[in-house]
Amino acid sequence: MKDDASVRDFRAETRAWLEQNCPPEMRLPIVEEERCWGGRKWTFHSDAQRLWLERMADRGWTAPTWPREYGGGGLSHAEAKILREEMDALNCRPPLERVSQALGLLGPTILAIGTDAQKARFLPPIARGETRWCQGYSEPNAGSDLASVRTRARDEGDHFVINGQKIWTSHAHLSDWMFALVRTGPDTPKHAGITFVLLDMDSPGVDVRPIELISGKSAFCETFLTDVKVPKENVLGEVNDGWNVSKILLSNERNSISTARNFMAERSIGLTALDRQREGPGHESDASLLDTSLRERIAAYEASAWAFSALSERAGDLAAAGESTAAHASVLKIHYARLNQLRTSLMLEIGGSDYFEWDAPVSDAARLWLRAKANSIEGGSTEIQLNILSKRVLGLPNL
Amino acid sequence: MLNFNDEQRMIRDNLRQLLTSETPVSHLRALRNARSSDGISPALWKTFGELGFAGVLVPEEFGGLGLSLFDATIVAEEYGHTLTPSPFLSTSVMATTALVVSGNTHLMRRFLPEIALGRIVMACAVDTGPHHDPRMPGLGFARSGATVTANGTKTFVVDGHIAETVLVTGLLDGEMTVAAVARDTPGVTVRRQWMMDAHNSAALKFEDVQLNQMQLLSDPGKGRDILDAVLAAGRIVVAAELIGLADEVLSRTIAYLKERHQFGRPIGSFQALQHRAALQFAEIEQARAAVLKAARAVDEGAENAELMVSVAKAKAGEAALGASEEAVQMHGGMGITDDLDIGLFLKRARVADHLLGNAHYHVTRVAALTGY
Repeated sequence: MKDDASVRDFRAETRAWLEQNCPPEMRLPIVEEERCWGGRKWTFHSDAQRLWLERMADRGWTAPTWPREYGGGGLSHAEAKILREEMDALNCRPPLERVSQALGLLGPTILAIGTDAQKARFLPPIARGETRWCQGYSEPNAGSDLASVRTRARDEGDHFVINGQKIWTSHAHLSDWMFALVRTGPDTPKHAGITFVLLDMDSPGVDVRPIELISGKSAFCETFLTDVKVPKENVLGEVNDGWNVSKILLSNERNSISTARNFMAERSIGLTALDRQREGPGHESDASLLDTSLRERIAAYEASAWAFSALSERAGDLAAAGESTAAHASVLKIHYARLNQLRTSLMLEIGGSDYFEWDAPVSDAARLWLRAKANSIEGGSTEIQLNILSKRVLGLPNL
Repeated sequence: MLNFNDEQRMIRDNLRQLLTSETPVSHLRALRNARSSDGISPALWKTFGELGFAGVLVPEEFGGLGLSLFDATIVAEEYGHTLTPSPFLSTSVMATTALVVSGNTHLMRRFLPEIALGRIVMACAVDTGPHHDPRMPGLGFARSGATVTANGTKTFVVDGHIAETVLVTGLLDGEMTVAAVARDTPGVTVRRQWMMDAHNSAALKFEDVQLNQMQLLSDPGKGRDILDAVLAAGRIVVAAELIGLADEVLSRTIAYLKERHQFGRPIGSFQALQHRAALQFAEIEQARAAVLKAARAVDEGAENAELMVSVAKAKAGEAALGASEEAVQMHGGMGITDDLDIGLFLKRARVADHLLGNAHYHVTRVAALTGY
């Protein structure tokens, strides 16, 4: 398909603006630690990072498709796609991570069902990277069976008083706000008594403890809530309708987790493997991988990764045309988890024992491999996604 | 965009209606049982001509619709659903692409209008051995004055035994060259290969076949471009057929899971089967996106088009074989009987995966094209 004139203009203007405004440091390949998540507790890694966020936020391009009045760029899907293509072409780093809880999940949900007051209050600071959010969904006894949350919200007239425990609240210790599912109707059937609330992490009674993971990182936390007051204007959707709100948000989650990662925009791991082979004496001029089993397994992974990027693109196109289904969210999530696990495992294999050192490592491959184990568990496990496809898409009967 | 517009949806719906009424899977079964000499429905091919499908890729100036490869995938996906054997691949896609890319106006004028009308069948002879290796054509052209002599063998030539003219690849002075050879030319012997999927295939032998210069599609230097374009188009269209096949065989399996009862309940209520079926769905959706992306990439002349073609063919082959193998298993004993159509899907999936390079071939090609 050829660009028509207005599309060409937009592309040219966008490229010119990016070339002029994206600092050179923000056009180097991104390292994990330098991704920008924003929030009041955020420390910028460099002036360039701060400047880049400010310039993009001023243009509304941190949230390109949100309306301008709420801090977005007011772009169409097609324009946003061009913006992204041009950013990729110039190697511009995202000024603010698109997959954050705020930008990727809560923002679109507030846009869809929030009150005007909620939109005006919460969206602009999200788009500017001034507030960071975490997700208070899972509890020790409510994981895959999320509807059995027990954190209790007691009605006190103009506000709720909340008591309970949340777990797997990613980066709660770095977040300013939490959106949470709480039980407001203890006597109603389990899906019907849940409310979706927006909770200020600075409120008295909020206690956050990071959990150490097998990767050695502490991305997840336990969050204890003791007599935490939440005003009723911070309920998103209707009281006792939180389950439906969470479904809207979860479909954003699966979309944003997956569309954010274009594996093949990164360097081919086959080429990395070839580099390592060439480091050996007598192999400097090798043209291909001599380990044909490894070569085929890497290529099979990369073929799937290319197919996955096509799938992400198609899911975006279908969504823009209003043809999106729950199916695509689950399909993306399943493939993303599998591919990232495969990729990180192959990287460890390519590195060999050099990559196993835990302290002062040559590469963070070991930690990334361990981190990837969470991909098929967090945000609705692979088994839950397969259940969703079986029931809602294929129409298979219940036992 | 990797989704269909209204016009494309209309084409799809019309075709689906036509094929499910004219050539449902029972049509393939009947051709097989009768050992039909054509191996296709000549009536349907004529209809394809009347409705414009045969000329999807033929430029308008030669009487075709002049549409894109992306549009051609819509046609292939639909006949994949019904396992309809059709000269669409050999004639409307591969031969048409060869002629158009050659730029040989003499041959284009002669063949393209006939193709668009569904009046002739043409074949493309690429393979010489049991494993796809198009750089080794297994056929040589020797020039002597105005005469060109062809010697060599070809195999797995789709529609080779019914084609009026066969486009044959070979080496002329060490360079890839394509020639248009009438099937009844002296020195050409054709043996029909009865394949397990009951789709057309033939082995061709060329012994001192005398051709004239006018039968060469181009100068030898251009032969490789022609071959590359034919392979890209052919691979995408076979991949699209495989997506249709996979989609259909999964639908039939889901229907069976809902209807078949054991232990007093539908077997589709067991999670062990639900998750396997759902995984097939996920694989097919990903492969479908890869096929659409590859078609767009070739249409737009994208830099990574060749890579995307191999990705598409590999993923479609895997998805179709995976879905049909699971279909056999989930149909239990019935799945291995010839009474049910499931076996026909499995057979076609296996042959079409192999056609123009199987998943292994294309995965290896991804490594080569990426540079490792």
